[in-house]
Amino acid sequence: MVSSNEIKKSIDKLEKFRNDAKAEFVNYVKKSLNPLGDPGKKLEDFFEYFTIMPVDLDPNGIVPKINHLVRSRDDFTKMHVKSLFTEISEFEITKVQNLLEIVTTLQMFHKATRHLYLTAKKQKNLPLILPLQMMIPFVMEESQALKDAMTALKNGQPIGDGIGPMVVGGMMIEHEKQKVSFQTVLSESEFEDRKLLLVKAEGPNATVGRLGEAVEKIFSANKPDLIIMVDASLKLEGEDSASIAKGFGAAMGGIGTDRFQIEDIATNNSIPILAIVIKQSIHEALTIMTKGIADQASSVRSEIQEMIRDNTQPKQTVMIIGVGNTLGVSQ
Amino acid sequence: MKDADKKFTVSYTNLECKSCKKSLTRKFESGDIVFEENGTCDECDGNLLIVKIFGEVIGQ
Repeated sequence: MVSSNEIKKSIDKLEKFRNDAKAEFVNYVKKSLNPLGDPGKKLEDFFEYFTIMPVDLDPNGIVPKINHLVRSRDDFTKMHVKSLFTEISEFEITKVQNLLEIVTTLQMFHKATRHLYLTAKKQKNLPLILPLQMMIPFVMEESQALKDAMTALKNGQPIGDGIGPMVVGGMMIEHEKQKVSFQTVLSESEFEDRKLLLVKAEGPNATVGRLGEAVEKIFSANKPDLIIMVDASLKLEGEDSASIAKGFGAAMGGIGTDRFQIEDIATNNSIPILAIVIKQSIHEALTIMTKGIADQASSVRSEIQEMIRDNTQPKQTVMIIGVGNTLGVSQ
Repeated sequence: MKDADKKFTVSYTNLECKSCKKSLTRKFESGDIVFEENGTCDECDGNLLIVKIFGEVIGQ
């Protein structure tokens, strides 16, 4: 069990992570991106932004509300990031947005853990320290991963989470690409007399795209007979990194709105969803892709081909979705 | 974090010739992007395509 003294040490470490991440981020913006004036104050304001989730007393219809909230927040952040520079590429904007999210998450982790710790001490309320004792190792693991993720983001290098877009991006080479929704691309190809609809976030931006919206749009013109989703997945303790697992259902993390949209369409049209995931730790998912994970891309493509042969007939259509952050991975 | 301090990650870029399929790996360079062409093959003069970018942790 983690002692109270160790919790205090972890909170101090979280504070250091947050401060280091802030300094690294501000330094990157100032030195690498040529901002208009001193962006320090504006960035400091961004770090304090919070999001209030919609009321869920009556959960019916909550998904579009969450979707609207998340999209508005993204648009707002993008607009404000853009306003810091006279000229900035889409690639750099997405990198800055991701870096900003790392700093705000570390800030939130520090504030929340410190609040619980100080309240328990102030009120001499020992039971309050119990959830903290249980949570702190997970919080520290994620915080370390977030802090280390900054290097790959600054360098524009693919991260472990990008294996899904890398698998599908590799299938898109030499085929025409079209933008299907915000920061999301579609490409059509063929495999053994089946039509393939390949969907992924638009690389090399640091984005996960808007896959739910993309699938909705594609459905109005093309109805697939099978959906295959490829994503990175957090491995369980004891599982091997970079191992491949197959299953049923929509493989997609995040807040859940895109997954909801895809599940909704698949259910309404009776289309089966199959999943292929590449297992990894949270640290591997957020930092530069390991060789083991990168080497699995061709094996996953072979698994996809086998899935197509086993589950569809010639002349049918298969939608393959590469889920994840496509930083540093084009198509 | 004494152990972590001793570790550092080296980034590599793996390229493949689109013509002769020769594969080569070099240190990552700023601007490298997976699935973008980068230079020509020294054996057949075909275009080199970046197929992987990965990191390897050095030290324990």
